[in-house]
Amino acid sequence: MLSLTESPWVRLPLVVLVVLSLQQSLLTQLRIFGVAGDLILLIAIVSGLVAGAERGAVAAFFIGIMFDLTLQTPFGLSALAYAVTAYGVGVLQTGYLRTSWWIGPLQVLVASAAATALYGIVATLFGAQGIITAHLIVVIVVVSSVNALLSPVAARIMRWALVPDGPRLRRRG
Amino acid sequence: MAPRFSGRRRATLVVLVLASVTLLTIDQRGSGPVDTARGFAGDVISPIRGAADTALSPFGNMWNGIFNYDDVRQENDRLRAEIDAQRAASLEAQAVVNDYNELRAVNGLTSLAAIPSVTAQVIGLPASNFELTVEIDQGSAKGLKVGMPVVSAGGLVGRLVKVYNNRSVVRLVTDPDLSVAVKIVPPQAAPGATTTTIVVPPSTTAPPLPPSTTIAPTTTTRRGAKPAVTTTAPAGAVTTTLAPTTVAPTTTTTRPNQLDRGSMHGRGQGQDLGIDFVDNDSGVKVGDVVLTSGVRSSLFPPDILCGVVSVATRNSGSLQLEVHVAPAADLGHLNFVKVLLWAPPQ
Repeated sequence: MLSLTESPWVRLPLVVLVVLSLQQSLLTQLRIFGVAGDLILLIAIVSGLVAGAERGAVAAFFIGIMFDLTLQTPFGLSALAYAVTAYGVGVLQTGYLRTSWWIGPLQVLVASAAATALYGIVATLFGAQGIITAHLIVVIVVVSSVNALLSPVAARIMRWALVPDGPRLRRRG
Repeated sequence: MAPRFSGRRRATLVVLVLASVTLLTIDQRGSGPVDTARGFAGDVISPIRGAADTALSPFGNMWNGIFNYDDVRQENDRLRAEIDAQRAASLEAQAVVNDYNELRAVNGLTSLAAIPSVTAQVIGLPASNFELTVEIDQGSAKGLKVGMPVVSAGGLVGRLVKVYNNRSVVRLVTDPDLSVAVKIVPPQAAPGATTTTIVVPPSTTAPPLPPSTTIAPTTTTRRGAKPAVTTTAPAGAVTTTLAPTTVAPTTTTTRPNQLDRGSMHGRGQGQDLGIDFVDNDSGVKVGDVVLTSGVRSSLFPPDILCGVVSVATRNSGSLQLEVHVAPAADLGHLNFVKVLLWAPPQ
């Protein structure tokens, strides 16, 4: 039985709040080619990696909703893009064994690119204009690269938040 | 091992997608609960973000110091040179602006300088790469209302789209959802400029005409510039007949004070603005100035500087000129802005 402080219901909102603050303060200043890294997307994707397709998708949906609350973009858009991406990552994650250290960052790189493109497409379908431009390619490249670089750290944090009983179970086994 | 697709996992995904689409649809219909939730979330996150901003700004400064050092230095040099040039020009321009404002006041026209404003600091830049809004630290407590124009020292920044008690959200002019009625004027016709006429030097300059003195009839025919001017002198007067030389007149091309009107809209992040409905024959050129037109029912008062025409291209088969505008305000480095306490006339 997990204690209250170990519960994902407590840890995940805490992590999301901290990452949201970072995203809205530090990340808006650290721009590369005018593009900010997307830590929120990173933790959503990593949720799928560390918690599997189902739990990861639910966590990513929650993360997306929290992010949408702070934006003026269509409400539910981030939740949709993040949940679908985290689910996809989670499903693929169970399909093979991770034998090399670079598999995780590579997954995050590809998933970040896919999620950003999906976001742009869905936003356009819902009437947003000016998103699918040449600038979108720059956004995809920068966001994917930054997320891939930061993915090992994010994986540790999200494992702490979402699967606190993971190491114990392994020890028992 | 092949990926496992269990029914429960698929059902979870379907539920999440349906929930997202439902939320998107509710938001598209302009739902109150979503706005209320956003307001609450903003109120919660705002002080945390402020504290994080203060604590982490040294890292941001360090980053900019490392990666943008050369750019910043070049920009400083350029700005110093610009300041020197502007200092003299601003003194001259201020007198003209005063005249302009007085004339507008005399004629009962709204002057931008007469509109009261509230100064606000930008406290939140876009957190998402697809969001074209900024947050400012003033709200309804200072009389701000949705729809009020926001300007910086450079020019038009945007329009208030959400107003809370002590903060507001500004939609930037680069957002494609924001349209502004504008007029395009030659640079010299913008408020504060000293002349509206471009003088093109004549291609040929005639030398002074050597007068030949003769006793002539009572009429003097002065020839040269066409049409010929004939004046009548009193009888017996000594007249001077000018040699019949063709003099090229000084060519003075006067561009109209207003070249055309149009609807300016954003084209997304990192893109210049666009203007629709500009006639092919309007004479709009690169470098022309774009101001809010302030037409009846316009969302903005007249004569706010929006930017400078950066592209003016004729497209074959189109009746409209393709016009792009470089925003006058530096939207990437906003710090302090002014909210004009102005509401469009009903």
